[in-house]
Amino acid sequence: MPSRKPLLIAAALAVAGLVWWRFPLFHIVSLEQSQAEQKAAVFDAVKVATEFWNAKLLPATGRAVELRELLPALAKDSAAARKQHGRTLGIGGATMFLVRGSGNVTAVEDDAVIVVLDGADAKVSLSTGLLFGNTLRDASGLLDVSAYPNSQDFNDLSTQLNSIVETKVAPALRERAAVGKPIRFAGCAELEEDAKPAVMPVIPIKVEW
Amino acid sequence: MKTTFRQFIRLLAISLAALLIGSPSQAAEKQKIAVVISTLNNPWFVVLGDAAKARAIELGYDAVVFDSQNDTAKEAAHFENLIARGYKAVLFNPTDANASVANVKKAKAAGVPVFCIDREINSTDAATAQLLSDNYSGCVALGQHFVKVVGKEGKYAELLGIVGDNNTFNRSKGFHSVVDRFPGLKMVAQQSADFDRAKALEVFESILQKNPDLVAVFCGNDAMAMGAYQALLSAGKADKVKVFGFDGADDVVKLIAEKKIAATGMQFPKVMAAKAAEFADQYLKGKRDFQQKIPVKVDLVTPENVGKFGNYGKKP
Repeated sequence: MPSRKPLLIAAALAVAGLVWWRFPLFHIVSLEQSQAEQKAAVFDAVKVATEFWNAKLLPATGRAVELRELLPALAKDSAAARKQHGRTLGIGGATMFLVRGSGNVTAVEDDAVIVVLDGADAKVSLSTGLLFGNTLRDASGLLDVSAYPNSQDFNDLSTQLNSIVETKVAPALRERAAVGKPIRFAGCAELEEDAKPAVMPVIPIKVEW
Repeated sequence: MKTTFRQFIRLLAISLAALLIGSPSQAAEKQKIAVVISTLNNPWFVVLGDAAKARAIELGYDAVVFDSQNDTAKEAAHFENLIARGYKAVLFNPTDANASVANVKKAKAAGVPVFCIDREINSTDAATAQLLSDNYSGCVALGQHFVKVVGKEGKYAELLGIVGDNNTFNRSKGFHSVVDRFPGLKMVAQQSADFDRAKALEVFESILQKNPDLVAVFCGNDAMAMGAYQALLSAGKADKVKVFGFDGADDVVKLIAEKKIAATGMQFPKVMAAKAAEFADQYLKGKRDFQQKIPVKVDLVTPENVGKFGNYGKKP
């Protein structure tokens, strides 16, 4: 009877080969491929913020709440108006609104343009100064924090969106603003839990004269 | 011999019966929830762990706190242990945003849900949910207050927390997103003190010696703010250098009331911990649709509003 040992060894080698093929101990990749993958893995906040601004935030201004409706609603029942028109990120945060309105410029200050609204006895302050925080990122509700494994990336978007307004929207607004001039605008606003500002602060994202 | 054998059989039968009788009472035993905390060498984390444990017990579970001592190897051992010992859920304060992911994935693979508290892990498909202080926004507010009370000119230092923790950089970036806009404010030193009071004392003493004209120090947590304040007291400069912390620890809140520390960011450890325990309870009762990341607001605490805060939260 021939020995079965060679057959057993061959079978064992075949099984081991199959395991190594299926679960290799290492992969060989080219240096170029590895570098390209690392580059792709780095979050490009400027690119993502610019795409969000153009493809999502600006088109969303069409469904922004009119300030001439929001402001009386906030005065009447703040909690109900915040719930209906605003959004809050997580637990206990400020309420953010995507807003729009029209009116006339009543003052041009160092870091804001003050507008009295059409059809409402109310003023808004369109910021033209330094911007901080997450209002532009969170007001539309179109960016989801849960989609970002590292929250530093999500926070970097705020810096870039603030930069777009500071470098593009605000300089144009400052340049053309003059007392008495009619204006249409859309923007983002943020109200802390117990805030009832006399003049509603708005970060402008779109301005038409 | 026969008698001995009979005795053995009788003993075996009694033991089996005891086991069988014991089983239903074991089945009725409370389910266990593990609370794994990065370090208990900081009062803030003790509050976080105790609050999570207390809420889990209130909800009808047995809860045990594990201290990782800021050591990812110890943390991994805790996870091995708690999975083997049949814990049903983990309320988890990670040690490292990247290194802790593997532990969470191991628990997930074993069918044990993990709920991160305060610190995040760099993954959105490992933990069931992550309740995280909004450190960035909190430090944007702190940075704005810094500029208001320090002014637009002067030299300052920054003490960073643990470099592997995202909170460290979310806080630092939030602060710098404001303060760096004022070129007259010069950061002359930026060093890590690992969120540790004793290390902060040592590091800041050295910074003070090299930079005698500092006007302020921003510390990534309150333990480091206490260390920095202690260094200032020893150097006789406590009234010359403004200290800014982050956490809302009781000792710092008291010093803000005495106008000895300029400000801090109040996180809400009790709120986050209790919510995580409630999420675990909901999960164990069948709920599965949890939002992955839930930011929790941070409040700025200054001498002007300090009366509203205390005991690691807002006064009722």
